[in-house]
Amino acid sequence: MSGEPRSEARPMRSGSRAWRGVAIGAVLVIIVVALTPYIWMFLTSFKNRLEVQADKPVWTFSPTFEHYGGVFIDKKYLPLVWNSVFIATGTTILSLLIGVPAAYVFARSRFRGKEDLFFFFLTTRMAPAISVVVPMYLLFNKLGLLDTRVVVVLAHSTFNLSLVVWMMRGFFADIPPQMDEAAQLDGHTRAGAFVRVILPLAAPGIAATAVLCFIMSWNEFLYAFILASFESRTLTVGIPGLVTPHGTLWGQVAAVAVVATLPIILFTIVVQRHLVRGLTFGAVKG
Amino acid sequence: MAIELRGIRKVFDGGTVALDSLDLRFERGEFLVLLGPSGCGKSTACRILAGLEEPSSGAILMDGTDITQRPPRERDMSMVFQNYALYPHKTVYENIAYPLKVRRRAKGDINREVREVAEMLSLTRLLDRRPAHLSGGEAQRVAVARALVWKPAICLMDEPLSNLDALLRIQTRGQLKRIHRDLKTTFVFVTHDQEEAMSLGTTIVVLERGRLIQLGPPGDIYHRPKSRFVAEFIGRPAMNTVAGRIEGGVFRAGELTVPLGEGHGRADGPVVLGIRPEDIGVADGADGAGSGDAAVVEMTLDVIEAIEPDTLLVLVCGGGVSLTARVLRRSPSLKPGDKVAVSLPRASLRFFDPETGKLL
Repeated sequence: MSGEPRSEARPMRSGSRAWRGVAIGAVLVIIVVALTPYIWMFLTSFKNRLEVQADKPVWTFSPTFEHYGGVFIDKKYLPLVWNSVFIATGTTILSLLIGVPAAYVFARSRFRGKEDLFFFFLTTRMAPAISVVVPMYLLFNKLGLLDTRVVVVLAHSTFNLSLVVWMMRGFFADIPPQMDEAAQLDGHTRAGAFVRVILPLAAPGIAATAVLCFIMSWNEFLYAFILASFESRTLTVGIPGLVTPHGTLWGQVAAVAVVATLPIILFTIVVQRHLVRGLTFGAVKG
Repeated sequence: MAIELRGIRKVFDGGTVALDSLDLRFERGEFLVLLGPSGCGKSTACRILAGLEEPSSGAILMDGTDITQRPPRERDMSMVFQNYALYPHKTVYENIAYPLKVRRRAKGDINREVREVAEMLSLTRLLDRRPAHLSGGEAQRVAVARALVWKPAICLMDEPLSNLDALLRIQTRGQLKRIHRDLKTTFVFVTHDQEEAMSLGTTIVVLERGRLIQLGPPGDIYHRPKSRFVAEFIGRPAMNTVAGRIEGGVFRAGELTVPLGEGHGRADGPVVLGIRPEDIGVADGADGAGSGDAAVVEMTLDVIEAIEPDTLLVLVCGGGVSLTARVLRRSPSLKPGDKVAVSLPRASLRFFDPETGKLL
């Protein structure tokens, strides 16, 4: 009798093992496809000019830092790192300051036209960026704000704000409204309940949203390129500057790209769990 | 010293009338139970009292002062929620201490008060845990502790026991009664469970579709229901109700004939007769004549339900009339299909208007 269930269990177990193998294989393929260009870029940034241009891929070489020095010191790209940090941080803070309270209101309050207004927030992301950036250019030109970091912060906040509202509404909706009510009976004002009780509860969501905001702004090219292409340009805007009439400086492009992707990788590793949760969250609840 | 709701009306956005001109007055120190089926407005009344919901019209007075516009924190009330609403990121100690902390009490006082209330609710060994690591009963006690620790004038409870299993619910009931006896805090307790209401309340308020149907001590509500709705809602099994007519001093419904005796003073016409299951007497065999204070009718025993120690006897007679009797001792010879003599004490008979449901 005891042999029977075992013989039944075995094909099932080996079946699930086979599926496991397939799944791991699929994941490996995805990883290779996703990482190969990045690893190639990473290696390229340490190759000398000949190795970069070689017809056959060069896998063994003695690493050089000439491109890093060439672009960040000689070409004075170092301030661009600061520009990128300033703009991405500023955008994140501004978007959160406005978007988080707005999302809370969307999650908690009932008012006429709420869903329409919420949808309107989302539609601001649907228009092609190029159609928005031209009027923005004219507007900021009149205001004399072109080529400042602030202008890019404002521009990036326009699209990050809808992201914050969209994601945070889901997080707030997941916190039972009785939390707000309990806090009010415990002696808080409505605003006090939001700041003291609900915000700490929503902290993981805020962190995930903040990272996403930061990444969106950090990677953004078009707005930054049109609105601030000289003094206040970001790292991403800096890269096309390395495409010269005499040829593209691939080694330096790779060096800038490596520096530009580092914070993204770091952030993603730190918050990946919350990030996935935050994204699926907004998708389901939004 | 009293709390008063005056003409409270609440209409929600969709046009649902949750409360329709509710007038209610109760004294401090009472254990007031708001009882009714779901959708009767009992939770809304509780939330309006707490200040979490604004009434569409009407006023709330506390010792004569109008508090209708006061925010929740200025009402001297606490609340236990059905889902307890404990702060998940705080320990049990921090949860209980929170209302004191927000109200800026001294550290030493907070510590003393928290430990006192924790002791009372047997939470002392759980003070360092987080809500995620508490059982339902423990979480419920923490919620009660948080509501009582700062000694509010009124403690509101919105179905606080409905997430507990049956045994724990009865234990917690006893505990709440003890707390009420010892602290003399005013409680307002919302429930749809009539047994909970009967066991806890010093005053029960029965609500139906946003209206107050009856207010009174549990005994009154049970024995002198003002309407058919209250009669059927309170008591398990529910009061028997039979629709029929009075003609010449005799109630008739199908083949059931109940002489009302001398001096009944009831007019002829359609009525609904009500009688509690435990007031019905059942005797073996179809003998026994009507005595002065009870009408005896012959019925057929249909079903025997032994819900030890009691027994429920479902009695039927022609014309689709059915009565449920509740007896403590049943004759062992009784079996379904037997003819039995059913005595209906006249003092236990209630008559309701078939249209309005009001007691006649």
